[in-house]
Amino acid sequence: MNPSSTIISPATGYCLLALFSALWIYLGRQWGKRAKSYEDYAVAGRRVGLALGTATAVATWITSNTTMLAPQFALQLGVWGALAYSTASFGLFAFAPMSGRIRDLMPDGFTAVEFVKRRYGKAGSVPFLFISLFYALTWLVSMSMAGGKLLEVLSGVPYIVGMSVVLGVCTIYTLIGGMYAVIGTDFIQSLVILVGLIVAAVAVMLQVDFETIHTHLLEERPMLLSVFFPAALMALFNNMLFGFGEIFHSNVWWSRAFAMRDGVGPKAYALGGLIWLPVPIVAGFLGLAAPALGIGVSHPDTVGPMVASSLLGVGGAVLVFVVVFCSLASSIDSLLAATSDLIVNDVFEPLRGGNLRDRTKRRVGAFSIVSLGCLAWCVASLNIGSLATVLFFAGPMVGSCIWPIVGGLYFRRCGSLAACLSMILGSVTGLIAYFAIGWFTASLIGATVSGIVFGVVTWVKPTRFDFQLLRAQKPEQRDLSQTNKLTDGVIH
Amino acid sequence: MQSAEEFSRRRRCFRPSTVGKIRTQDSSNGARPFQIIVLARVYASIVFLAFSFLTRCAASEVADPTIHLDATLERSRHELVIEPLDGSPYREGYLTLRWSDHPRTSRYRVVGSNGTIYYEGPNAEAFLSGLKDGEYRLAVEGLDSDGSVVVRSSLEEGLIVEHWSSTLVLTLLGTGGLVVSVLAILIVWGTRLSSISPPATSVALCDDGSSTEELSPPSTSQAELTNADRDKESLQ
Repeated sequence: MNPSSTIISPATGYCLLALFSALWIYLGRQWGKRAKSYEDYAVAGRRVGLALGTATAVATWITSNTTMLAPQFALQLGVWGALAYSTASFGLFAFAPMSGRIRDLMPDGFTAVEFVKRRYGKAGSVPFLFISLFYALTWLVSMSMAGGKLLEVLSGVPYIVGMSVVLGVCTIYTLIGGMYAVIGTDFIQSLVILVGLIVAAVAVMLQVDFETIHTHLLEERPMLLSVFFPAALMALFNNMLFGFGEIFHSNVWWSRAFAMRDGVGPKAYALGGLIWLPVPIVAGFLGLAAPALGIGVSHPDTVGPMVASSLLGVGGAVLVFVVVFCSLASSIDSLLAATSDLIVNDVFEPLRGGNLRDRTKRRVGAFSIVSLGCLAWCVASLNIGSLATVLFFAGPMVGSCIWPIVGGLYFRRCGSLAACLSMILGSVTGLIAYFAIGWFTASLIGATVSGIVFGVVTWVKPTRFDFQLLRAQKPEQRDLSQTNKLTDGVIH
Repeated sequence: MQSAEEFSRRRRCFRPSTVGKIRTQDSSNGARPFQIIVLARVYASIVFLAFSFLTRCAASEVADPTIHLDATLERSRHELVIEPLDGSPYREGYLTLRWSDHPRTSRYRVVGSNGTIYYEGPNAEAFLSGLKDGEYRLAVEGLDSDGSVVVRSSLEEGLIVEHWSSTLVLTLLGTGGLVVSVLAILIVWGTRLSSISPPATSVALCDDGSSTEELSPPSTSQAELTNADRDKESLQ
């Protein structure tokens, strides 16, 4: 990209990058000082309150995909596209009661895979672990790519530099402070994102004539306003189920459920969903405004920043830069922390055949965070595929995890065979639909097939699971957590 | 080097014997090389899968004629060459149109046969969306800094847009509605069931993982103290 064609100069871009990088690392270090044990490092001592809990849910769910993919959705699939994207908030609403149940069933738990392993055994946990790791990596890569692309579009900072800085900064502060740093920075990032979005939306609405937008769309892109837009209607429930699958299965959300105090999770997730709901609609409006403003769009995944910055000038570009940097950081740090928990608790610890010492866990956790950062950098540096392509490939896989999670949390009749078969068959069928029809049907078909398989196998071969087993705690772990609580009481 | 028996014993250790039982074996038993190999394999598998996927994406993009310009089609440096479309109808109503860069132009314009301007900008590619069913005759115009057309090229074949059938749409809509409804009912039902179930008792597993032991619940004073402490220590 020619630097002269960008809205803010590369020098300004580098200054903003340096400023926010220093800020996040400083804040991460300050918050991270509270982490004394592995439990503090992984689940913030399980004492997160409502304000921080809500903020972290909002900040994590407002990803680069919300600020960049929602306008793309609107430009591709019209009004229905923006609405379809906003249905992802329903996942937060649905997860709200489930978070309370999770906290109740596993008061000392760390990860989603740990639940699946205890609930369904190895047969269920192997495909679930694979899906979790694959999704985490896909999400991490798509956001790293978004960071690089955004900085290039707005300021002319080369893709590889922008992507490396965004990913590197998040890796550093997550490494230093663990979950404390993640949740602490999420709080500040969510405030910046929400204020920035409100300012940008109001400014854009003051400058754009709605009638002009409507007329232009009707003449040039009539299907964007059509009530019966086939692809958009197919995407509606697909996106909703993708959001359900993402939240229900991902350790990003489970680790927060474990980190929140008793009774906080349901309120925090419901409130987070309410705050998040209008964000994709506001962001999507930017995509719909592009044709009326005469903005030629070459890359649909950058239409949001392009519209905001071209309307609001340098100030708008800086605002967009800050908002998207915050949304990127708030999600990348969460993913790094949550996936590192998975690697420590569900890959490394079982391979070592038992309990690890606190110090070893922290060391392995730190190593995992750095490794994940490096791995994501390697893949993102190839810069292949659009954001939607990368992200939606994981859709059918996460969609097929919905039923095993819901069934496993609430109903004792659901067994490991049902969980395993539903995840595998749902993923395979969904991926076939992805290639045969399109990405906008993959999650829906995956979740549907998975649900049918899960229901049928549960009906044919029911089990009687004892939920008390999920509350079971290893003696060493119990002693350790009690010691940590006592220690925390003295220190804080 | 591990003996076959040792290897077999370790494999048994990794297998969770029963749901809910947790192994509490001492970890310092010299299994590091084996574990490192397994960890390395896990990492290698993830990297391999990620790269395979992205390579596939790249391959499909190269194979897709609407995405990358075939260099052999560049008939001349002074001519605009639009990347040919694959001829099959576009079912989502959107596509990316690409053409060769032209040295004397500063901007490009994509124009329909009825005069509708679909794109105007500096890049040699345009994202078109929201197209209705029908055949579109598109042309790309290269403009100089004064806004005059210096070069023009048309798509040799018309762009055909044919949206998905209403039968498929309604089937998927109905299915989606049903799936989401069932899911919502299950969550509400499950939450109600769990809220009326008796309070949980703590359970601990013995070191051998073979039996469970019920612990007596903490005394009221202890519980109150813990809650009060937690409130005090809360992050907010």
